[in-house]
Amino acid sequence: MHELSPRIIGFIFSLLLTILAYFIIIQPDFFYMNNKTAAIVIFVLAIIQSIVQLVFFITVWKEKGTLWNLGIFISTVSIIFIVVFFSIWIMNHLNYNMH
Amino acid sequence: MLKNELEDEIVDTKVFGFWVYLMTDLVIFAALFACFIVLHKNTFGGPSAKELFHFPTVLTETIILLTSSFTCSLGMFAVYRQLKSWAIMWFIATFLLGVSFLYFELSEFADLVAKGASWQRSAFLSSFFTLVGTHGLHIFIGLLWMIVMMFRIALRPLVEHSVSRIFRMALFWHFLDFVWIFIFSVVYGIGYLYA
Repeated sequence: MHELSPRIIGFIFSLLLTILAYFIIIQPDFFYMNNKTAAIVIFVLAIIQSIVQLVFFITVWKEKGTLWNLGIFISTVSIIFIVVFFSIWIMNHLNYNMH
Repeated sequence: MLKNELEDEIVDTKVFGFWVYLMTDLVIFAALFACFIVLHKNTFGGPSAKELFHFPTVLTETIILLTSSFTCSLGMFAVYRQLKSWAIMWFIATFLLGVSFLYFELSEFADLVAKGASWQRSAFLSSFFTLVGTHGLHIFIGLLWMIVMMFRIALRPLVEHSVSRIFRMALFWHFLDFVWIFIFSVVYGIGYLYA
């Protein structure tokens, strides 16, 4: 990807997403959200933002290396999901049972 | 022809190896994130995220880092076009933005410690400082690497393996930006709402 326009588009998108997330964090009431909805929306914005970064800036997806790079990325994401999700799950239950 | 293909393959293999390293780094960050999410309510009677986080600073840091990612990618664009002085100019801009990011982050840390909210105060603050501090350390190392690469651009011709080295540095920088997005949303965002 040796062009200029994707870089500019990616930058504009990432700024817009950050500013939107910022206003939702400091003023969830303004968007008619309670804390739970706000947290979910912020997380979804973070996922969109990270996809923007992956597509426009982290350019390891060119023809030849794509399969290997993508493969290791997907397996890492699944490891991360296991580590983070199950830590939260187990620790919440432990916490609950301690009371 | 054959020689070029071989060179292409070596470059691709190096990028792949570096990408594997970045993914293991991502696992470290994931473990620290899990740690923070589990511990963020354990304030031990000390200050919580609601009282401590200063949002204008956090937004400034985020915008600085996003902009530095953009200037870094413009630097890479100039490297592909063999425009040496433009490349160095964009990497200097990236470097200065990185330094100012580190300055904001360290002054935030100093401010927290001055308020008595150091890493020794509670499990919440230990996990916060470990996660954000590890990211800051990566930024520092990225800055050192950037200095080396700027000298390389200035002194050596931009042949293929040289471009690949600079590409890996840029990849590292974008990766740090990628991690920061999650620090911004999870630590300062969700951690703040659920403090």
